[in-house]
Amino acid sequence: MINFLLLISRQGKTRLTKWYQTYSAKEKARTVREITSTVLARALKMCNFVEWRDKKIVYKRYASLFFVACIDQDDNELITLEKIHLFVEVLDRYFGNVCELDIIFNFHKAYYILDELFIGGELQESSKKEVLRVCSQMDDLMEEAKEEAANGNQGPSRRR
Amino acid sequence: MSIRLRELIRAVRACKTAAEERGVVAQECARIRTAFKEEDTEFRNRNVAKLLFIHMLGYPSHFGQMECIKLITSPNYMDKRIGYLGLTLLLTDQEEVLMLVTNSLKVDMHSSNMFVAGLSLTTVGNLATPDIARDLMMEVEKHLRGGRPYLVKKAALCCIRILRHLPEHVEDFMERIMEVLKDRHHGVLVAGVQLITAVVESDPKEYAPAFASVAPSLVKMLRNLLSVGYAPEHDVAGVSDPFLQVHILRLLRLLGQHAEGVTDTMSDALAQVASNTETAKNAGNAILYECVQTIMTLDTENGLKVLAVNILGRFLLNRDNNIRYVALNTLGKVVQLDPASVQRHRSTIVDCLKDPDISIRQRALELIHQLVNESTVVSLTREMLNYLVVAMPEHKAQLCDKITAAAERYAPDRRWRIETLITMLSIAGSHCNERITSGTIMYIGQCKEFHGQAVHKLAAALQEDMVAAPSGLMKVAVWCIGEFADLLASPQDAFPAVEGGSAMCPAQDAMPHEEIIDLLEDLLNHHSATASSRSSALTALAKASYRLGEGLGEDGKARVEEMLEGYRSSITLELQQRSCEYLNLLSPQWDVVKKEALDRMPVMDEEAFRERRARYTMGAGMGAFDDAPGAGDRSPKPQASASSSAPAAGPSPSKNGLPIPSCSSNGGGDLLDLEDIFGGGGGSAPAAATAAAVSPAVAAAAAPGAGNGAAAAAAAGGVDLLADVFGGGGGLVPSKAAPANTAAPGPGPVAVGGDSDDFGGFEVAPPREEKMVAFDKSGLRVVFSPSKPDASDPSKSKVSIAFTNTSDEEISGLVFQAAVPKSFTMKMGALSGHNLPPHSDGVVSQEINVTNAMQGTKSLMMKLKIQFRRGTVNVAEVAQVAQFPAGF
Repeated sequence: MINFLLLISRQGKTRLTKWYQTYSAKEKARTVREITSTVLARALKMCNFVEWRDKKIVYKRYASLFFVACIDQDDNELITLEKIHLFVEVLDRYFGNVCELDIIFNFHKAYYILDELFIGGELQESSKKEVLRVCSQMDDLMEEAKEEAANGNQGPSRRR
Repeated sequence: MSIRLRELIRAVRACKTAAEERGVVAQECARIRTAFKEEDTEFRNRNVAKLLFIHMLGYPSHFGQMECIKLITSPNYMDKRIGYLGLTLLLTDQEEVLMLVTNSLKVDMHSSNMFVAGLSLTTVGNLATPDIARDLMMEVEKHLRGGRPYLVKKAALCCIRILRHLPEHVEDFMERIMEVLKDRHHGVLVAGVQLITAVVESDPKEYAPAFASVAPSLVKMLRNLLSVGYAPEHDVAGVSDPFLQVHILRLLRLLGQHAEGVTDTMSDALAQVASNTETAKNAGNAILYECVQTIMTLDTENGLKVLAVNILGRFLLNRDNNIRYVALNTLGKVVQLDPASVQRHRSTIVDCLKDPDISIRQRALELIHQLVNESTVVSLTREMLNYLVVAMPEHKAQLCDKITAAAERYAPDRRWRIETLITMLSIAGSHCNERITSGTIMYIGQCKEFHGQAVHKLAAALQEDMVAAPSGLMKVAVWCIGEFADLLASPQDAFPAVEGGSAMCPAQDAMPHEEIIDLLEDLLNHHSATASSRSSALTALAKASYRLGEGLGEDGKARVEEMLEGYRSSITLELQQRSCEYLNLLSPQWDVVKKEALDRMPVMDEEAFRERRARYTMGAGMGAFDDAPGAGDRSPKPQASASSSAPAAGPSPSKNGLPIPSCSSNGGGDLLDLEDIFGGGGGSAPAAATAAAVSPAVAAAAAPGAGNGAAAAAAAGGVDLLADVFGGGGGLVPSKAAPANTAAPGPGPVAVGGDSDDFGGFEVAPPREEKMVAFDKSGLRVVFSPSKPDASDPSKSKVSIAFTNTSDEEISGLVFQAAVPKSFTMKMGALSGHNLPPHSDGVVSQEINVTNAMQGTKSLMMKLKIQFRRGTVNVAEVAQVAQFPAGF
């Protein structure tokens, strides 16, 4: 299973973290620091796997972002790369040619998408289409909820 | 006024410095806090979203936890969604607050809105505590049978977490879980397969047979996936749903391994996957990788195994580093099952050691280590040595261990092993631990016929690059040069090559004597020399000078003496002592004992050494292993008891020094833990005994001889800085030392092997210190050394006690009690240990301070109670000690 998932920019900034195991805040910070420096230091042609403590780091760079997943020793590294790719493709379709800025400004949406792909570090859905369909349905629901909230709000609307 | 999330992100991004960013965040946090405090519901949603962003930047955000819980209870979907997101980001399953959301989770799970129920299920799957798992188990189970694929797949993954917390409920879910696999929706299937995998993995013995019945349907599923052709919904690079395939293959492996084994249909399906999968893209390789693992783990037919190994062979030749990595990784698992097939790829694997990628190199190294056997050891060790040159410093130590282990286990001949070890030491000697260096020395010592070649090689390696010589190499070299200086100074014959082992060894020219001394001088003055390496070098110098004998000439002799002389006033006790002793030992008057004192070290019995070391590391007598300068005289050596001649003329400071000379004059004490040699191999005891007998004599004789003899005697007595005190004080010490000379090697008045060990013994040359045997029975001898520590107060006395084991068996569980008459007050120190190895002397000591309230009228008496266990016998003894000297 995936223990955690990180999105790290090439400058070493964290863009998204998702923890599927329990770590204390301190451990999280240290892990992110350690992994960021390890992954960023690797040359382009090297393989996408790094052994880290008793786990394995599988990472892949897409444009300016590193997608990093930490898996158990006996997990399949190659299929993990595919899972990362699946996430990237869904992001790409959802945002339409996704870039780092999309993820910075819509980090919550990236999390929503992630939650449709993985639960507890296990894969939930293998079809991009299905994930995208669900996401757009949920967005519709969000719009409705927003209107509802706006109508329910009597005071002068400061929202838009 | 609340700014929007987008504006906050922009403001943060516009910050040019970290301080500026902190300012913006702090300001916003303050606003958010105020809004929370004012129970602002209108912007709660937005504030939590902003807080999540701030949290991601690494700032504290715990104050938002309660707001998330409030958002979750809102009926509005937008609020709920951000609330649940906040919950999973800001909280871990360790926090008590989570209890508060149990009810909301339950309510939402019952929601008719599929997405609201989905939110709740996702949260449970990511975050549930055992309590939440128990409370919501039924709801999740309901969704598992509910029928809506969107919720079934989420519920299935939820179950993984729930059942991990509550393994006792697996039975209840069993039937339901099997049903999941009947669905046609791929999301549901992949979730179901992962759920079963997780359950089986949690206890394979219990659950593999229970789920064995799903194997046929898994095989069927796999076949369908292979035959389906193009399915746009689940196609990845021309492969139909690689995710599902991989997870099915993995589950089949688990089931086959722990339950029914391999059926024909399973083999067929595996063969089909192995031969029909597209390998151009990563997705296909992921499936093949999983499939190969399954084939190799399961008891499949040989044809299939060959197919799998061939796939790995192809992987290994792949240009993609990822594929090569997994190939090496899998071969590492396969190598135990089928070494022959992996050996075929040896050269490719060896090439991987040269890869720039550390992940690949590490995997290759692991694999190579496993491939070493009698026939490959020579070539593979050579590769490992090559790699050692370029390996990262932090991996060198581990690599050295591997090479040593390989050489030890599979060495084709002795010379090859010595050569390999020497080469390794010269490449990475500073990364080798003590065990490797002392093991090398031991091994060289054992191989008599190669002593000459070894010492020549070591000397050559040193000469090649003296400045950068690694410490491990220097350690071994210095020992060998000391031991075999005569061989180094004579030409060595060539050795022919051994087939499948050592290469030809060319003849070596004799090394000129001056060069040998040069080498030792360089080692002595090396920039990285430590006290312990210097003391070894001094010993080597003494030994070399003796071995080279007349060949050294007057000049050479003078040089050696000059070098030794240089350490005569060293502030390091050990060096000073050695210097003084060797200078004396090399003078003509000791020609009689020189041979024995500086003779070659006896060959070590490796077995006995190991055994002893193991025993020591477990037991309490660790003192003997310390080679820190101070420790030498704290732990009198076992062999000292063998020499009954021990301290000459009682009240001489020289007797304090007995343990050290006995050790150091034998040379290389620091290198090899002499104690072990003597204690372990009984045969070598005579040599030890003579050496021990010689030393005190040397030390004592030094006193009247040299001009500043007093200082020399004091130095030998284990005092370094205090030497000046003696030298200056004059009168007392020489007069004390003089009788020592006359009494020299014969048994002293108090023929006790042990010694008063501790530093208290030489506080300004205590004038009154005598030894008395207080107890000597049942294999235990207790020796008292009473003294008056405070010259101004005669009522105070100190008794140092040394325990000696005179039996052949180990003494353990020693308990020592003492009682004094009422007019005395007594303060007992702690026993320094409770175990005494056979024939050990002074390993355990104790100190008692007594004050006599009726000084002058009553004298000291003691009653002792001693209990211990000798071998298997329990001993309890009582004794009385009344023969204290007058004045106590």
